Amino acid sequence: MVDPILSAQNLTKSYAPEQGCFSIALDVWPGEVLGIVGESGSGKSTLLRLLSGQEYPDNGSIQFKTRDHESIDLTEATESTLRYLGRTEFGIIHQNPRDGLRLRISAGGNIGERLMGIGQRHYGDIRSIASQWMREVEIDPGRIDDKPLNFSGGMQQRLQIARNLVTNPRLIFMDEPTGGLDVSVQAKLLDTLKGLVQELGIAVIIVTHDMGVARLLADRLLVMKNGQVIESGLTDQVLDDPHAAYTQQLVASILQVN
Amino acid sequence: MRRITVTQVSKTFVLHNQGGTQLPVLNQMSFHVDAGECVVLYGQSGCGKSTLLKMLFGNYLADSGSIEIHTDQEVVDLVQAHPHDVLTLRRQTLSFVSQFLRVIPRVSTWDLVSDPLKRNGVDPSEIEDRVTQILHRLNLPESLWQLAPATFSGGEQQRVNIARSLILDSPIILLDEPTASLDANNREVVAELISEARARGAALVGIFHDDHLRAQIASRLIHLEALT
Repeated sequence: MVDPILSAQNLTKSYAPEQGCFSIALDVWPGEVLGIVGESGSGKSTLLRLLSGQEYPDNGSIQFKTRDHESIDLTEATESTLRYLGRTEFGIIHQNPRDGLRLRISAGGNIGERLMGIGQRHYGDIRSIASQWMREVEIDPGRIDDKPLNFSGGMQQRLQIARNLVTNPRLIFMDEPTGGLDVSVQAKLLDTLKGLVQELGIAVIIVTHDMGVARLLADRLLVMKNGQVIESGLTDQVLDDPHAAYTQQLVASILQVN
Repeated sequence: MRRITVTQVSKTFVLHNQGGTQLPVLNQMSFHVDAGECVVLYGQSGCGKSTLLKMLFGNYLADSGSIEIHTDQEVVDLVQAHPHDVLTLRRQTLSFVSQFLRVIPRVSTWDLVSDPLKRNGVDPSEIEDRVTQILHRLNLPESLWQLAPATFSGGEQQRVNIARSLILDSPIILLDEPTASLDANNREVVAELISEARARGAALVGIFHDDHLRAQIASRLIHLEALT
């Protein structure tokens, strides 16, 4: 089996007893979607911020393998290295697209900015790549000069995805990417995401409290409670044959639609 | 050739949120399945047939024992295997036909059925031929192929499910009442597909409540008794 793209050991960040993350170990392989589920306050968003280098842990290590096969410990990397990785290797999709977009520059500018960040300079090329990506996430390319301020929530979220994928990241972090969306829009977004992830072979770490989202997108699941991983395994195994009391409770509270 | 070896497998469900109730389902069960066999699990409702079948797919975990899956290259114990190895087995070796279709909204019948072939890198023109052939055989009208199955009838959804699971010609096929919602005509088609799979050397394990169908396709029966 190939090496993990990201490997965390003994990761700890404590805000208060049972608040934060405690002694987390996990591996993520290229091309897989790892879901992190748990209730609000279970530490899943904290874990995501640590793994994506947005915050330093109190303890532990996070080894990341770059596309040049270099191994970097994110917990010891400088802020400028982390920013560089953020532009070249990572994508971060925030729950609220307003945190991940610049609402007052055009849709095309939002996508193009990331390309310029990795050294693209040719205006015509940037514009044509941007409109191609808008099509990819099912936004009418005719709206390339419109500001996302005037887009619907679902469109903003799809634009955020395009902005992140345009630089060919190898690892994407998502925090509740379908959080504020209508159910019908969610399905469409999930379908788009799943297609792109499979097609491009990128690794994804997705935090969600929605078990339906986890089932559709994730290959493997980690279940968190009070800052610790209490159960993990294949997504359908964890959801269909949960072992921990908390996971059983979580699964039992899913509303059955069918 | 040996395909599945189950050794001393036990399974008890513990319901933590219902006072820690323990439901023992399987106790020290052992059996094996060879290529070309169609083994039918039978026994009264609640005796653990579905649980056992789901364990053979890695969907439920065994508490103890081993479930060895013999691929053409290696032997993998599902009880100890890493999730990645289970996913690889499902992509190449293990197919499961469930009672219900559970898929992403919006995805068309054609895409659903061709997906397992795409994931295995099958040539596009061959994909086209094989998908067309199996959809025709299962009497799914061409007018439905580009539609998502969410609005189909139960029987139509079930046939999409069967097409998607059988299209790969997997060495091992697990069937959980695949004909429950089908009419007699389509049940006959499924029986033929199962016979053909056996003839090409697949190992099949299934649950069939239809006595006639069971008699028609089973090469061996395994009787399960409820433990509680």
